Amino acid sequence: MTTMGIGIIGCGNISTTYLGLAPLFKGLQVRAVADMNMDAARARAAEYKVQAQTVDDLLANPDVGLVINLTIPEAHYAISRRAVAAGKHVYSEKPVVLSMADGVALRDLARAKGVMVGSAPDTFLGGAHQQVRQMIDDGVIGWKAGIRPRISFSSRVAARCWIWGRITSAT
Amino acid sequence: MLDMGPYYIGNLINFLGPVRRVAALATSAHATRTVTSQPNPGQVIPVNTPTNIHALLDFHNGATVNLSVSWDVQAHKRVNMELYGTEGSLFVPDPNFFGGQIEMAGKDGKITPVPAWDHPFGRANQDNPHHGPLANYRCAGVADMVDAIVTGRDARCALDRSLHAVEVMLAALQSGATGAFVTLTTTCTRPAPLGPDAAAALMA
Repeated sequence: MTTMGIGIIGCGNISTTYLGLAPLFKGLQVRAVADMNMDAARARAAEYKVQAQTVDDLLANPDVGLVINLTIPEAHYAISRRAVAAGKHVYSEKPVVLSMADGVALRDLARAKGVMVGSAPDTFLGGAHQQVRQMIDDGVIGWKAGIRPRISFSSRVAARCWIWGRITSAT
Repeated sequence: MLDMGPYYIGNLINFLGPVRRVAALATSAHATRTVTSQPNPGQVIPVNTPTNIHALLDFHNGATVNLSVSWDVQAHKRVNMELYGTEGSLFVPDPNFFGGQIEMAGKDGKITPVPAWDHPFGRANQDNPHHGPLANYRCAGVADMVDAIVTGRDARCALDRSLHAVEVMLAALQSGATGAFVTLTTTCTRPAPLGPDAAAALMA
């Protein structure tokens, strides 16, 4: 198995999750971290025994083949674009971009550079969600993939009318 | 919407595939919010985006979905995700996490827990102060992408799917502003399933 050298840009809270969990997986080796704030990068690098670099140096680092972009959402596109332009594969925190124009431009540049771009979330790969996926594909609720289903769906946090009325009357 | 939406829409794409069109009501209950987290707790910031969104998603495969996202609710009695089919219903745990309890009902309408299968990304590996034992395998998407790069296949977290999810969210905001259905310009495929063996193969 090939090992992919990884550079992380963005040393905020979520970086500890990636740095801490990467060793669980085959072929991932975090080699460098960077941040706009070099002190934050140095502190995180010392904590996980990796190299601290500037963003420019990390993007030029030949030992880094894939950049994990953990910057704030407003910076996702700019950082991902620079990484792709530098010939790096990119895995971004969500949301991958904030506009369709940025997303299409990133997709086109990645194709031109021959690199792959991906994005969190990856929680749908979890045991529970993959089990639901398997149950749906097995037709246990009356629908198999490819057959026109009659499914309706509800997701979390619906505002109930009485709460809405209470909030509006109070303001 | 843009913060929590990707978990839900990503899972819907996993379950049902791509979305054809979107309509939504989008409002805000508050003109300002007070920051509760570091580094600026107590700071009052203006609300510049809808914080209460009720969207209708029309999927290419014919599924009809009601997606509600709100910061303006104090309490609710909704399950994170519910799937209703002709033969039964599935109750899906929080897609912000890898594990959790699935429940199901058949035609008799009786809701019962579904025993978890033995999946490497469903096993609790952390003790969370708020949620108790938790399965956390963030980076799984990176590992899958690296394997995809090496073997020349599609990555499950590929840009085509996340970009489609972004378009679904932006379409809900746009529809909330205009009152009209928004037909999407992008599409994607369902990601390949990741069964227990395929997941185990990604682990060190």
